[in-house]
Amino acid sequence: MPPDTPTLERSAETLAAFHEEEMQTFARPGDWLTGEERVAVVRRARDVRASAGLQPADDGQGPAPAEVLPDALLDVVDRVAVAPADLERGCLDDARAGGVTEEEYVETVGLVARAVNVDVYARGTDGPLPALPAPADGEPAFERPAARPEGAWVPTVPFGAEAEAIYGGPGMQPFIYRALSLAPGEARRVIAGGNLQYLALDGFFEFDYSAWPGLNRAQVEALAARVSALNGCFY
Amino acid sequence: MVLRASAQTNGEAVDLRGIVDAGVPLGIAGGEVLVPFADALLGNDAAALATARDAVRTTLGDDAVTAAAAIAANFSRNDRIANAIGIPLERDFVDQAADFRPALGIDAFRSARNTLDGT
Repeated sequence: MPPDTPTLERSAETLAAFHEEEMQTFARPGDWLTGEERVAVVRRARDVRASAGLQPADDGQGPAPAEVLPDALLDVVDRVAVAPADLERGCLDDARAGGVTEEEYVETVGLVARAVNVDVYARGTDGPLPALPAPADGEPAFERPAARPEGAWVPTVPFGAEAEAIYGGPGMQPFIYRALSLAPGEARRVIAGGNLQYLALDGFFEFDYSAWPGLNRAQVEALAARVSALNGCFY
Repeated sequence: MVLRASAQTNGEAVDLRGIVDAGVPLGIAGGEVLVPFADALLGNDAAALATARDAVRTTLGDDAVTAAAAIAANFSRNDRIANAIGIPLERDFVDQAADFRPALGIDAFRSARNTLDGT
């Protein structure tokens, strides 16, 4: 293990606890969406994936997405949840034309992606889907960080004090961890999830290091590469 | 790139075609059960997934099922973020994969434009 690698325990129990935390974050007000809107996003993602046969249906609890979210945002949820390989710039452009702000778009992408993470893991282990909590009251933060164009479809936060606050430390983060920085709460959760479920970044270039009992690094990377190929992900 | 490097560290000769063609053995230990598990987990055949999960458990153990599900889920999340935000791949990684990307068809992914159109 690299000397500075945090000693996170990786087990079914720690993952269950982290995923329960993820579910709770879905219900709280975010940076740009209310708790009700965030739960409706996850509700919709689960529904469309179940309809596509990609996961079992759950108990259906939660607000009716079509009564909470605009059509343009429902379309984003559907595309990201079910067909990641087909995503193109038009997904953002259509959303913007439908009145969705780029900040709302980013937060929605983060929510859908994190919900898929929780549900894919549950299905992979033949475990139950964690219950979707009731939305919490309160307003979104509505605080836009100092993002700038870095080559993605939306601005991102590259470095500096605000970046450290979002990413949890100094130094440039890989683009995958900067991608959601217009919705800092989403970016933080993705980094936490990556540190637990994949590895901490200071171990990335230690090619004989795997954070996981049960799989060596080549086996971890084989899974990552195959999943990304199936999802049509060049990154 | 990381797959190739980590396989070399193990003394394994990985065949990267196995990333995009499940009919090609990857050449790493356990690849014959991990690739079908990933395929089934992202697919819509529950019976195939149960079979693939059992194969991982039998071949690599209970811990491997937890780990494999965690890794597949992690990249199911990251891939969606990358493709939906249109982030480009970092320059170093683009260069290090240049020798095998075209042959594997990776440059034809829709998301490849987010990187290659800017190079």
